[in-house]
Amino acid sequence: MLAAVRSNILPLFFVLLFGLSFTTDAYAQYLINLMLVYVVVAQGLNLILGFAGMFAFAHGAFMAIGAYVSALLMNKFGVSYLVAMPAAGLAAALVGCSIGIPAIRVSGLYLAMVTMGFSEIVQWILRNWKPVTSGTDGISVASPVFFGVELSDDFQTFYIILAVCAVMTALAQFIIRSRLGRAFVAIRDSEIAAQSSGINVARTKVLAFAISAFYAGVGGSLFSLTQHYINPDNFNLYQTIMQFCMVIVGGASSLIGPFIGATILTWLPELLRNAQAFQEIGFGLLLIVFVIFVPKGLAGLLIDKGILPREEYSSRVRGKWVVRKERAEGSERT
Amino acid sequence: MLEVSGLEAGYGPQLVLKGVSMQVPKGEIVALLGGNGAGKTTTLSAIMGLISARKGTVRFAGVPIQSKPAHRVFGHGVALVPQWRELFSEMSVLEHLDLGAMQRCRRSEIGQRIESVLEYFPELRSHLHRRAGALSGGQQQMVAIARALASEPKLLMLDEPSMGLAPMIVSELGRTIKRLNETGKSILLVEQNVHLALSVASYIYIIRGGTIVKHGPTVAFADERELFQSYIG
Repeated sequence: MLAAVRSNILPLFFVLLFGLSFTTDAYAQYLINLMLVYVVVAQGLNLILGFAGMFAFAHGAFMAIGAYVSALLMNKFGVSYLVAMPAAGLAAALVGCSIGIPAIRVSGLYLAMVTMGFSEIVQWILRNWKPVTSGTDGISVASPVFFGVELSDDFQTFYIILAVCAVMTALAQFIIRSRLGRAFVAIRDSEIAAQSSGINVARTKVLAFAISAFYAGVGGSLFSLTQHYINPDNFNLYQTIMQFCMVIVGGASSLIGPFIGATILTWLPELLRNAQAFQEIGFGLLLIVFVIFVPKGLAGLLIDKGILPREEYSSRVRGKWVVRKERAEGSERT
Repeated sequence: MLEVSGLEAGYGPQLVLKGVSMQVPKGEIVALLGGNGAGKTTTLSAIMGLISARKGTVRFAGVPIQSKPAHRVFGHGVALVPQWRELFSEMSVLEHLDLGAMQRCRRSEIGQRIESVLEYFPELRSHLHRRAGALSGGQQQMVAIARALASEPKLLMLDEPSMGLAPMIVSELGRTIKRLNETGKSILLVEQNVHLALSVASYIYIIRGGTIVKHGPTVAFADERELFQSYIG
């Protein structure tokens, strides 16, 4: 029973949230929606930061691209949300790809600085390209319409957000267990060994950028649904730092990590509602404490204690022939 | 099989290799010996395409590979086991083998390929799901070699595989290298461990200051341990 729960913890999480939606009030529902949006964005950041080991600091900007593309497509061109959302992800991925190509020449702190510079450029464009973005006034986001029904409240949009979050999580799991996912982990751990194992490091890094930006773009589009109104301040440096906190606190290089991080960091500000000034300091302190004392995050801690399963990077199906053979011989896991 | 001629390479403004020339014939074990900073690892890096050659040529099976990136050189059938193993610590042994195999063979053949690699390292069978980072030094070296072998390379390059291993494990490593060679694999062994190199290689090159200073069949060096000491230290 426990083993079944352990290996199906994410599907159970979605079922639990689905059940909760029948009992929550409007504000709690809004927070659940926001949490799921952050899960999507954090999954993307986790792919590039946790799995591929690249210190990209631009997810607020990718999220902004997704939010604005999706809102503008719906507002100005009357495009259905079903088309606007993937288009938002693709637009962010395209920009991610173009920033990824020059960015692969640098790593570590320098990559963080390059991507931070890109974020500032996006902020400047959002504030100054007024005919399109309305500058600091921001833009209202039209409610999506499905089969003639306008989904205007948080209870209605919850089902879209939950479904997208589940699909994006399944996609992240598929990527991690694919050839590409193993290439991500390989370049993170040793570029020399990765190259010597036939991995095209440059292409893998650009793909990491593009996929991660796609997640942020889709997250941005979902975010615009929860807010009904967006402006440049929604996607500033604070937003990027918060996403970093979610990945680091939850646990980088673990699929469950972003769920833990997004849950804590969506609900924690609510607990600190009466101490606004402390929120930013609190996030900073949390980041410092986790980087120093719990570098693998809460998910890493639970994995090390055997409570959560370790991420697998290869297809179970492909390993079946070996697994069958070793059953008789006995192979231990560590 | 591998022909290196007048190879010059280095890092930034520093020129490390100053015209290295050497050959690895098909089915032979060739050892490249030298002390710290002699240019052994740089030679392997330049052959593999991890650093660019500034001058000279590297031909593998008649094809010039000196201007190709590492993943393309790998595609030609050259595999490198880097110094200090360079394993992916969070991946399991099986995931390492899978990663090695997947780059150069069809999905349907991966299982068979892994099975054939495990025949060289039966000890790994009982550790397939253990994280590579949790294995002993000797086992990690097995995984590093097995990962390279899983791609079924025509030329296997080993960068100081004996480093940090107990003498008994080094002897076992020597036997494994010989067994690999018996199956027709060409091997370029870079070592500081003279004893291991003499026990497995058929031809020896000695590198010092980025230049090959002496080379010849192993039998010619058999009584020249003192000479090795003076070159390698």
